Amino acid sequence: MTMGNDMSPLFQEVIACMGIPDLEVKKMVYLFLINYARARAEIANLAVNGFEDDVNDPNPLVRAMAIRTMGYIYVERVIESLIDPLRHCLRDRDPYVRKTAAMAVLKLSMFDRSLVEEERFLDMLKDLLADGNPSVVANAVAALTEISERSPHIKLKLNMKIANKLITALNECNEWGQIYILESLMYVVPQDSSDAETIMERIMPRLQHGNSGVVLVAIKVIAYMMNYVSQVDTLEPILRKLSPPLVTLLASGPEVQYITLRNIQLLLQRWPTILQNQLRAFFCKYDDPIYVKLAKLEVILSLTTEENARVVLTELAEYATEIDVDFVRKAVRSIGRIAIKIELAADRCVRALLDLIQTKVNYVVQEAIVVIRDIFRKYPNRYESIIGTLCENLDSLDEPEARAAMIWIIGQYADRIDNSDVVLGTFLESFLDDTAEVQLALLTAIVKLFIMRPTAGQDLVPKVLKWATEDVDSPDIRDRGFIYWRLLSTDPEMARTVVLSDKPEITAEGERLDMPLLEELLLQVGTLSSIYRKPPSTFIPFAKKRFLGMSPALTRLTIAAPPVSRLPRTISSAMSQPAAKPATPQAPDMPPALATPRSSNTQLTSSALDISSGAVGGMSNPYINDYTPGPMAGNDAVLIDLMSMEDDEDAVDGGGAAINSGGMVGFNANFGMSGMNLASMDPSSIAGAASQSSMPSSQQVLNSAFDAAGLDALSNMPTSASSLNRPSSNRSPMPDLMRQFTSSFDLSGASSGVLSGGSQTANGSSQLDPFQQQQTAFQQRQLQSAAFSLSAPATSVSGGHLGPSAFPAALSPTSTFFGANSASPFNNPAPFSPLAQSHNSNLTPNSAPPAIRNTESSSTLTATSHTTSKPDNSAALSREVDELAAKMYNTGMLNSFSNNGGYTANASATVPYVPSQKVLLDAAQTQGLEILGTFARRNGSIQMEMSFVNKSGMSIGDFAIQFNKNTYGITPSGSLNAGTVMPMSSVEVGLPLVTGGPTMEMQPLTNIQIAVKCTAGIFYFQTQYSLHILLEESGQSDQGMFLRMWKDMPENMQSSHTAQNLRFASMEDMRNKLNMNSVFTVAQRSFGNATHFYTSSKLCDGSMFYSEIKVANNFQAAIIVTKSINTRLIPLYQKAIEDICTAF
Amino acid sequence: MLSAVFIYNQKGEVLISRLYRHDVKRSVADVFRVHVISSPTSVIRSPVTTLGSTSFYHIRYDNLWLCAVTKNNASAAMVFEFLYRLLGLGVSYFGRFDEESVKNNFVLIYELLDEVLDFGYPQNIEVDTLKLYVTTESVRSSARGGLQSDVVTGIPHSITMQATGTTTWRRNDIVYKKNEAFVDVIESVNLIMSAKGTVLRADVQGQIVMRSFLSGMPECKFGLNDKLVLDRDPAAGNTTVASSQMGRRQGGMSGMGDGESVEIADCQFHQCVRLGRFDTDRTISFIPPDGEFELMRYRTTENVNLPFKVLPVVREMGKTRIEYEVLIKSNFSAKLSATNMVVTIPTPPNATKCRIKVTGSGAGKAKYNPEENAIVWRISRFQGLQELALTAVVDLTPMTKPVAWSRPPIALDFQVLMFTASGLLVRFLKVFEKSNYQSVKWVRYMTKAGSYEIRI
Repeated sequence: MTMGNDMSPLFQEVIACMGIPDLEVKKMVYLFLINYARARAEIANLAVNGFEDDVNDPNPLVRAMAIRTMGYIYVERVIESLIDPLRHCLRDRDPYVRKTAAMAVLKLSMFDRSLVEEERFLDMLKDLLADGNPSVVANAVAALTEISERSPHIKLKLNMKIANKLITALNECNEWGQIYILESLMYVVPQDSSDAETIMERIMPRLQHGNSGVVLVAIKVIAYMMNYVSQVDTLEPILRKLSPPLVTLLASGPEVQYITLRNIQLLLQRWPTILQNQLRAFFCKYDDPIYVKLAKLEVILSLTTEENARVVLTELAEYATEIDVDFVRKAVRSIGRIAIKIELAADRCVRALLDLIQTKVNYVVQEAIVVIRDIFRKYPNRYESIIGTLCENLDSLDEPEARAAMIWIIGQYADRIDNSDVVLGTFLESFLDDTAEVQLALLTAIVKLFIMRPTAGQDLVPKVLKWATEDVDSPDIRDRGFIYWRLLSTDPEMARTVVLSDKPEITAEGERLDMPLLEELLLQVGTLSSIYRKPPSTFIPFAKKRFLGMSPALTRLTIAAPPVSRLPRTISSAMSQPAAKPATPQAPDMPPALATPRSSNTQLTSSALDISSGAVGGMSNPYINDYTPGPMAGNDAVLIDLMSMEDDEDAVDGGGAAINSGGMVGFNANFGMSGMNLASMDPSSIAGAASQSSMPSSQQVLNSAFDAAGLDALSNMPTSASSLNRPSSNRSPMPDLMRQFTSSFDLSGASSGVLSGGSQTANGSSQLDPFQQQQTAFQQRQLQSAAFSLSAPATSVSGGHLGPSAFPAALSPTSTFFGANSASPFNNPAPFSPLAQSHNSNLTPNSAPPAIRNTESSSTLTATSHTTSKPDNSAALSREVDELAAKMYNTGMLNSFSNNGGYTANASATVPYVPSQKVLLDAAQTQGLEILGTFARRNGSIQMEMSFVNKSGMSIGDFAIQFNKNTYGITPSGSLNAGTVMPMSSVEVGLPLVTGGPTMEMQPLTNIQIAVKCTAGIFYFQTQYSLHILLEESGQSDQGMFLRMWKDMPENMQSSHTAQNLRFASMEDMRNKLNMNSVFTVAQRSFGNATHFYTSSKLCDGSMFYSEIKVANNFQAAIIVTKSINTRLIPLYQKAIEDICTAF
Repeated sequence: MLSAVFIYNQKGEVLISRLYRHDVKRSVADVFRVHVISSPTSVIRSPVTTLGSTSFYHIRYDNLWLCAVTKNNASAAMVFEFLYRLLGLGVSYFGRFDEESVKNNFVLIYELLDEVLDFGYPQNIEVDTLKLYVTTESVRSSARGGLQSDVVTGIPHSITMQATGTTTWRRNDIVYKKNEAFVDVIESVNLIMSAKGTVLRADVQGQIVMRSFLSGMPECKFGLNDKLVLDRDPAAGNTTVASSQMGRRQGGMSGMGDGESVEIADCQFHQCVRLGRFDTDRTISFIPPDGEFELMRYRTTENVNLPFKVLPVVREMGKTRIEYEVLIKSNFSAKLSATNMVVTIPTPPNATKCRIKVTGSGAGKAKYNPEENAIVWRISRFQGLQELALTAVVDLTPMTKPVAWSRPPIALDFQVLMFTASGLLVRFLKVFEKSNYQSVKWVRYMTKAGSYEIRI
């Protein structure tokens, strides 16, 4: 059997042995059954009789063994016959049988979850928590924990009373039981600081346990509880007590050492003060396994301070002479990190590195050069004297990273190294054989050389540019080559400013995990997840996400705050856009910064989380900050209701030893919950609207669905925010777009026009520095991805619909890059609408020909670009600029359309909100056909309202329309009756729509792709609808439901949004208007100067949105806090509310 | 929790395979063999290997690989602790745990695996309890009689009570004619000393192993010269009856007086020790398992008395010769002596010939061992306050491609009886039992080398 031979033919004979009254034989028969019963279900049924005898055997060992074995056999018949005996065994007088039965319930639930619930085994398990025998309690706890971990709709919640009982049992359990019980304490959410302190105090002795599993799980619980402590003073002694056990664990087996070290790293990031003065405990022994050594090195690095830097460096230098290549490299790299982290130690580090270079050991030298590059970046003009030494080793460099680093150094100091041109020339010889990394570095270095010493570089530059643009396949290199080429040929001065600009500071902070990720990992101390530093959901399919339970006591105190430099980054990402972080721009002149996000995916996830949990946390949970004074209106007793619910619970708990009362171990079996947990299992739902991973695929799908060229560019729209965050090497979808960009400038032209125009208007200055204009155009080429992502929304979504999320997201990197020169005129998040409005007054639809340049800004733009362009490129450039101007005008015109020609929503609350029509298809792209449109919901049915405008000389007819698959399966339910549109006239059409068609997830979710066929051709476009059209009229929820859902949904399913300048006459008006658009008011409360609405909505797919809308009485602003299991839709939902509230 | 446990031999053949959950198949055993055991990279980069959503945890012992498999985000520390325990269980059942003993005890191992894990959750892994009902050949006959015939008298019940009760580690019906308890204090000194002679890291990992042969359910109290206890209660230093008996022994042991106390940085206890009481008043109280067990482990970092000082001089004379001068001084009372001392002095891989000379009385023998790339110097007995020296000249063959020698550290191995590097002393061991019998207690001290490294 062990050897893998199939013994199942002996089944019959083996079963016959079941009756032999010998324990040993029985055990073997059972083992046989476990192994083969699944394969031979029909024979397994024969064993049932034997089992039935055994479960009634007077010997408890036999009873237990029978129950245990039956649980392993996942055969219907066996499981059926298990149920009754199991019920008895759970109440058996023998604890050994009870503890085995508890496990059997878990086995059963893995076989059939519903069975366990139907047969009320869960309640019986809960009863076992009060069992007198500690082993039984431990197994029951373990079973409950795993059942809740795996079940989508069962959530384990323990209150303090249960927790205290469990902790009492802890003292009597064996070591494994202690682990299970401690683990279950992670399901306690302390309601005040003293609860957390009590638990910590009571489990503190476990840190002395000999089993490292117990110690680590105890540390996990303590690390979790520390988030709920209100006083820093109480934390310090606790942290002091954590250090010794951690060091002691380093004396265990190497495997446990490794786990401990990985966890120490996590703990150190959150609580930097632990393990102070323990540095030496982490010095590597010669015969430590390599994984322990590498992990120790990381800890040493985090523990290095100014005081001990000297000792650490000596130690690292020692490691750098060892045998294992990885270890040596990491040691060398660590020396560089210390130089960057601790300025005072930099001198010493550089000296140590130089010593290492003298060893001439190939990989040591290469590694040292890589870190020295970073040191040069960090401390310019300090260590350049060592360049000579570095250059001695040019020949030995064969690794790309080292070559690139050396090239960077030479390029950066091209003017100080006499023969820099010769050296770079040598490197250039093998240019085409090098990797992209080296090619990029070489390209930049040679351009630098040319700028600094034009005579020295003049031979090399044309060569490298030619190769880069013609012979290299990598789009990154090609793009950069083009950029340099154009830059150098148009304006060398400009090129100097750009190429030799100051580089952003680098820090050693790249090592750190993001706070939200760190917080999640700290809830996983000791587990696999903590070793891999990944949330469990990334490698375990069913894993539930853990988060800090919301409670008034949640404080997240820190003793030594993480360095300030991190702070603004987190905040700005939280403020400006939900899904994207302003990542370090991959500007051409930057070596891969240390701070480059390790994985943009996790960053996205975490930043999205940040919003829901961290930055706005205070505001988002109405029960934390809410002030209660003042009388409350009778029907609005939201708070009171909640209180009484909690009181009830307590009362039940208070009823003595009633563990089974359900209030203590709260199993919530409602369906809303199940949906919620499913959602939280899906990592992409947390990542928010801009899901990275879906980008390439959606692009592909689009391409295949509509293979029109114009759409390629449009399809890039959903990538807006996320594409910026991607490391340059991943920009694979871009080359096509780039080509398109250079050949026909329309899309990007539009956006840059809009941008520059917008910025000018916003700044109120019509005379712009010509350089700045030039730069704007240039910068778009440089960060073409940015330009592209901007372009799409700009053309397809007009004016007010450029959501705040898309705009600043795309802009922030550009402004970082150009920070010094252009003073970030783009940072104004709303440059667009003023521009649009200013055009409105000037233009009337249809009448203004596209050629007219009616604003000063646009003509300035054209003029300057003409003057600054050099002959060779001026044609292209001027064409571009012309296009810019034309597009800018166009955009203006579009807006005038949308506001004047579209349906005007009435301020009166009797009419549902319909967004104004926007241009879907632009006459310039087609043969004179312009389509404007919007989506509306009237009387429960969805409609698309369109205007077809014919600007061509011929009549257009035979219209047909088709929708591509979209997120909610919106599809036309009737045909398009547009008839024939005569030249220079227009037709308004309503197209009835239904949901329920074929679905495909779009980015953003409300995106919809449409194809229109007519006599003028087939046109493709995409647009987004306002989410309110999908809200059902049946979305009214009662107060009880609202309360329960609001309370049950954790904070990561919540987010908040601020809307400004509401257009309402009264609260009544607002309430009606919202109700009219299926945002139903559940309750309403007024305070002195504000009113709070509690609303519910139901989406067509059944998901509910619960919101709290706090409105100032002057309607200046409203804070919308929304909870929904459908977290990805919350921003869109809130946007819809905002639009409803701000529409005329 | 664990989905499966496999035991492989050195070649990667599965000796034992026990699946606990339906989320893995037996074929995952091959996955581990292919990816880890017979992986071409000889160095194991991690004790945990995750392939897809399946994680393999392994430890190696003798010629065996013990491997646990999980499919969830299990507590890795717990899994390894379980594997360590499983190993201990094997050793204690079979004397040694290797391929042969596994093959000879198939049935028993499966029985044990069935008992110690339920659905992948570790249950009771106490050897004492398990031996009651999972038995080896020799004792089986009597035990089986008990199981089969004495159902009525309730013996199985006492087994189950034992297996699930509060003292799973001890039976309550133990009787000895002579009640004795032996305490061994075993300290491992860890040292990393730089080539310049500065101590980079020195600490002591102590182990207190107890062998108890006591009747009934004895309640023991144990006292050390723990600084925290003595500081709290200065009078307690030399008053207890038990301590005077032991104190006498200590008197002759080394130069350390009774009044000195030791600062214990951290300690861990066997699960029989009541952690709550230790936490409140640092009293070590427990009901011991029968026979040998590790009562506690402790760690000290302050004031470590290094038993040996090593002063190495290693000179590379050009590319063909290396000269060694190694001086070792013992740093403990002249009445004591170290035994089984081995000094390993590494040499470069291209060493050809060594001329070695040792000086000092009883200086032992030193030999060049080409397999280890080291000079191995064995000293059977090293007296306290003594000095021994070794000089050696090593010839090297010229190498076509010069490879830097990584200069591994000199390593020492030794044992010193009746000496503790930390200065720790047992102050008392009190035994209380209902029947109030007299018990005899013995204490022994030993210091040995942990990882005693001197860089050169």
